[in-house]
Amino acid sequence: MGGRVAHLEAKTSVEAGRSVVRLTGECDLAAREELTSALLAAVAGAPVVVVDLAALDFLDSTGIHGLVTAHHEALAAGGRLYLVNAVGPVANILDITGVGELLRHPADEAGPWQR
Amino acid sequence: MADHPAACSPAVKSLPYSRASELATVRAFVCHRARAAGLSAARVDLLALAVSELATNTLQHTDGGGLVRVWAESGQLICDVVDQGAPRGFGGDMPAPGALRGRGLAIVARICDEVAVHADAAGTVVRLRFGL
Repeated sequence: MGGRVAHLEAKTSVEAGRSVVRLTGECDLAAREELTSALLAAVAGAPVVVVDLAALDFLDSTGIHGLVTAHHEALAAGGRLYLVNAVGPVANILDITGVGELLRHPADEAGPWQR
Repeated sequence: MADHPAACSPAVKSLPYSRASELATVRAFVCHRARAAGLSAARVDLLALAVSELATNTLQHTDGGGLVRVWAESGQLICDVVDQGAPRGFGGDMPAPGALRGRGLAIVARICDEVAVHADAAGTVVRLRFGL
């Protein structure tokens, strides 16, 4: 059957020494490699990576796996990876799994990286 | 989440899946049917997550695909995810936040009102229930 393919878009920009990865769409098994490669490239490119989830509609454990993998890569390189702006179902799964707390940006809601 | 027309016809009672690219359609299918049955929007999102986790489990841990079906009965929304995998256990704790794997079934157990597993002629059936 013709499926409605989940589309994930990952756009990375480097701003003031940090990589900001903006995710749009749905993050499931079909998008796993795209997510992981975008995150690992961002981690390789800057010591601090901020993943902006404002436009992400769906995240499951496969996407969590990609985020946590990149988090460990960042730590191993002496850097950090943070998540910001999760809402709705995405915020919910981050809360249920404790990953939202683990990767919480120190400035939290305000997001000084946006200023 | 946008609906996929073919997945949302009232005539379609169950939906097979066999590839990761179909997971979005599987979610659209269960969301559409659950909304039509009167499940609240927040719980429709939880159902979509649970079904996505189970279908992902099928694709990662069995040789074939599976199917989903959704219906309302006695004040409950019931959703079956059927595949050829071995029966799973849902009693595990949520892995630590820094763990890489093992979250899928723990998430399902956490967000559904009830999860039960049984084997029948069609395979292994994971039955999710949400109060309406």
